[in-house]
Amino acid sequence: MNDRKPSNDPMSQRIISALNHEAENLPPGRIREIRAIREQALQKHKPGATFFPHLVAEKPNMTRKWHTGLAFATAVLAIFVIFLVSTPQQESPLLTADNAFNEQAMTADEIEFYEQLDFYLWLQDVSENHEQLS
Amino acid sequence: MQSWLNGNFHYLRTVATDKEIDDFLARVEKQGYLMARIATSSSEDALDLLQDTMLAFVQHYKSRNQEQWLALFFRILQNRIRDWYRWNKVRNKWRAWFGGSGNDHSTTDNDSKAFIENQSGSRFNEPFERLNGSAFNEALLEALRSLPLRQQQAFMLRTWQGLSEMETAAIMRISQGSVKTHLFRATKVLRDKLEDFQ
Repeated sequence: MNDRKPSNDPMSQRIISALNHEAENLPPGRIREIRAIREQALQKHKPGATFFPHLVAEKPNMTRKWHTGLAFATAVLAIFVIFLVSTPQQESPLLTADNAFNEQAMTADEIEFYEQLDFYLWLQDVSENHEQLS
Repeated sequence: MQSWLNGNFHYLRTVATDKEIDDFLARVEKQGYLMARIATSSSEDALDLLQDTMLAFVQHYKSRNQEQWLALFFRILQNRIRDWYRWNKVRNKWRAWFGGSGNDHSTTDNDSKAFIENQSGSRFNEPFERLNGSAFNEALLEALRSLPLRQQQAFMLRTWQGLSEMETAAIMRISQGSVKTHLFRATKVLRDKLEDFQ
């Protein structure tokens, strides 16, 4: 803050005066717009004004007001997508890992049973004959 | 006594009057507009940025010490201009994706910092509205517009507004050494481009 000093270089001085001239010689219509913006900014801050002056400011040019709406819509959409993705889905009991393992075990037992079916039939016959003889 | 109170209890200062704020804004508004106008090359966008700056200033910073007002005002303005550049980068990407012609000169550059470093505001090339002015002024405005944003900011704040290196660095959120570098490069470019007028 303490090394504020105007440049003494002639070229810089010329540039500074040219910029000052340009700033002070804007077209009257533009100056009116700028003044309206200033008055509006001061007016919006008076007691009783809204807490969100950016959202309700009536600009001479409203070209960029839709940015706020677009940002809000994007945020809502993002929250909705995150909600959909993060919600746990109802899982079918048949699709759990444990159930799948049991299903496989039962199937293996059944296969073994049917492979040994002839032996079990023979064993049953032998058992029945033995009972009859005894 | 009064100065001692102001120095030690600055946070107890009464809020500045509307007249004081109005006077201050009236003093800097045209310069702020011209700065934004050169940076964005669009009068509509420049007015928007100026309005956002004034609203933010009046809403949040009018209770600050009046010695800080100038730096605060330009800090807000430069932040808005940076945001504007970032927003335009995103917008141009979307346009490019949807088959439009994004005017972004650096669509392959994903780093926003580098984008701001390299980007000049010459994409709209809206002619300056001017009542009158010399050829030098016209050449100067074009030369300033062709500068990368960082160099433009450093030159405008340091040379035109006369802010200190420390203030300029705080406004631009870079080191004082970087301010010197940007200012040096900007001055060199301007000298080269305005050589014929010397």
